[in-house]
Amino acid sequence: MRQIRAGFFNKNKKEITGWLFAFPWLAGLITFYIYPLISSIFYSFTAFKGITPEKFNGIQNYIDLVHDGIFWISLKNTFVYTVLVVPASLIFGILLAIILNVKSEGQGIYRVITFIPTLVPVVAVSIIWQWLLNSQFGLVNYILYKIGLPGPPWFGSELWAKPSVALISLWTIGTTVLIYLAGLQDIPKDYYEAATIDGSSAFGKVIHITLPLLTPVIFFNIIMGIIAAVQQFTLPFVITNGQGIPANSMMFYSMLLYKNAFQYFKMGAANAMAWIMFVMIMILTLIVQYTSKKWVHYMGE
Amino acid sequence: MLGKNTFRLAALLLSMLLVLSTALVGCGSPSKEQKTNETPKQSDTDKTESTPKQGKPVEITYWFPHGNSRDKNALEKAVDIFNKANPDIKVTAEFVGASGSGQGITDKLTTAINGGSPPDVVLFDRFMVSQWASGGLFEDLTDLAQANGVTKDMFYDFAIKEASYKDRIYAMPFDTDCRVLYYNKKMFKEAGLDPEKPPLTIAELDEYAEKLTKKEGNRYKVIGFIPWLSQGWLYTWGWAFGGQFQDQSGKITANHPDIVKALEWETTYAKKYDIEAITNFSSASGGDINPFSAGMVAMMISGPWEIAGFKEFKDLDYGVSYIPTPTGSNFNSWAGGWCYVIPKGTKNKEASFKFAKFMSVEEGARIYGEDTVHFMSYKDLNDKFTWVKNEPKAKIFLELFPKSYCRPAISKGQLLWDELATATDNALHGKGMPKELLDKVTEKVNKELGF
Repeated sequence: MRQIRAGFFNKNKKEITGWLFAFPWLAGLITFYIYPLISSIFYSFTAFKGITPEKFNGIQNYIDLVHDGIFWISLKNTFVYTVLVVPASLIFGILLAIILNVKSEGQGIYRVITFIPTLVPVVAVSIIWQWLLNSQFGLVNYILYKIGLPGPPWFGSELWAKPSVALISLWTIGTTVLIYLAGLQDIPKDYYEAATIDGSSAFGKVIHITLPLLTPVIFFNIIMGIIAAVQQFTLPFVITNGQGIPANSMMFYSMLLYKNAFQYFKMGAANAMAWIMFVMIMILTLIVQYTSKKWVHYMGE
Repeated sequence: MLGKNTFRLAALLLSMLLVLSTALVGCGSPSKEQKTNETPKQSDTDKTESTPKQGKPVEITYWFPHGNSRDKNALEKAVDIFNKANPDIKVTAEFVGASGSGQGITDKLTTAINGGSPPDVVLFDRFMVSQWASGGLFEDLTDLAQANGVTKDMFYDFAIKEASYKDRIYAMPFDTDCRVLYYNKKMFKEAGLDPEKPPLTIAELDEYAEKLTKKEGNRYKVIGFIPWLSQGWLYTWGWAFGGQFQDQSGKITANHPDIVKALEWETTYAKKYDIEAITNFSSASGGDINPFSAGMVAMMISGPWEIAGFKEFKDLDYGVSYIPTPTGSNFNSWAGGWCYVIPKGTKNKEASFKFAKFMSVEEGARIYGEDTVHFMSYKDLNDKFTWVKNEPKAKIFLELFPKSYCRPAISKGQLLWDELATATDNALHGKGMPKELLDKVTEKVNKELGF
């Protein structure tokens, strides 16, 4: 009897010690994550201006947003950008990864070259590309002009502005490629050997072995890509100096959120926008998750 | 035994959490703190500050967003002189990176005031003072100014207007500027124009712009003039065309007939030259290249800061003139600039004001204006600067200051600015008629203002 009680106590004590060790992390999580998270839900229902005492005003912030034309413009811009950049980074990412996976001399150097742009701070990236893609005296249009091609007005036109930003984010695709590379190296060599014996072409191997077995990694990258694209802020903000020009075509969702919070002092509306964004990302992720059952193949299943 | 121990530990955990969360709640609701900071009577703070304890100076934190070395050095030099002259106050200058579209410290300052530990003095874009003051973020300086002999007429009209909200003063105006027409004399000669006769009317401006434009294939080599380039905001042209952005009652009138005319005139340029091809000349997307000094435009609206910058370009022969108006008379301009504010909740209001005064009307202002080639809002200083005496181009600015407007000092200044910029941008891209676009701006901003 006594022994049993002692054992029971020991187990409990261990548990408590465990919680104590976790406490610093737990405290951090609660104070810097859960508390702000919950208070932001609360603020989204108030006329919070950032400093003056909050006034509860129900779903007024949400109603105002829906009636604000610029809200829909920013939503559309962000959506168009997401549709451009996610498939593009998927295709280029896989292509680059497959090329970089080919055994060749200087393989390491090529991999480093692909990865280097990701090490450049985003603001620096924006400024470099502002120069390169300047329609009048940028290097890219200068080269296009020399070889007799018309240079698009890049950031100058509503049509080209978003593709330009997508192009810049493709330049910093290194991390995505790295994940694909890891995925590629996970695929057992036996499959390729078997396919070679059966007389499959290189292209056939990519279609029938590489791509199906890479689907878990593709799945992961699509979700991460969507989240990053919907939250895109720095590139359009720096490139347009926070203005979203030309003609609001670069006013991204996060930029409008920032403007509402810190420039118009509509902290309540900004919180509401953040929660709308959360719901949007959640829905998109769930859709991808749902369809994944049909196209993601896990090895050994 | 088991229960007791568990309980004890749980209690410990809980109490730790409680302490943390109360600390956080304290940060989260500054309104309570603010009140306690506001309530100590003026006399109380006066007493504690006017009799500083021996050897323990009042410490003041001062934030500025000017990162380039010339401005930074001048600001720091002024702080050193102030500290030496006032042993009872110690000002610590901190460079705080600007956020947003070059308008200074905004989000960091909001957070700091919210957190209840703001800096004592901040160098702030004057244009935003009304908005921030209306949000209760700045201390009212009216009484302190009166007590310290600072009067409104020491500053240019536009400067003190911008620094006030509802007839109370919230800021001490610092430097200032206004917009003029820069034109390239060499290009004038090449185009057969008299380099000493810049355009005065809008008709002349249009004519000269066409003569000065050079095209090579489908690329422009030189564009004579782009109305919206650099400082050619709708404010610039609205006023030049005789419009007013605000009426007596305080309502916004962005759809004033003359402002509509100004925007309609701007769109003729967008149609004549391909808007997409020249957007990169005019927008921030051009990076740091100045199209005027690079010889890509022959005329440009800009402010006095260009004069110092253009000194590096030895071959650049240029002149400055009035912004053309439809009639070729009644020239005007508009001014902006920076100022000193004291955020709500600082503990050393008196000492902070003393420093703000030093920087805006005393030695600090003189050092800054002289060392950085800036005009100051304090009227008496400008014609005494040696750089002004040696620079013939400075004259036109001094002449225009008394005729300069400031942007409406309203609680939604940033919104009005953004809406006007977007309306201009939309009109230039052919997305809507100027009248309709400006009607919308007027309606939206007035609604936000509560009219």
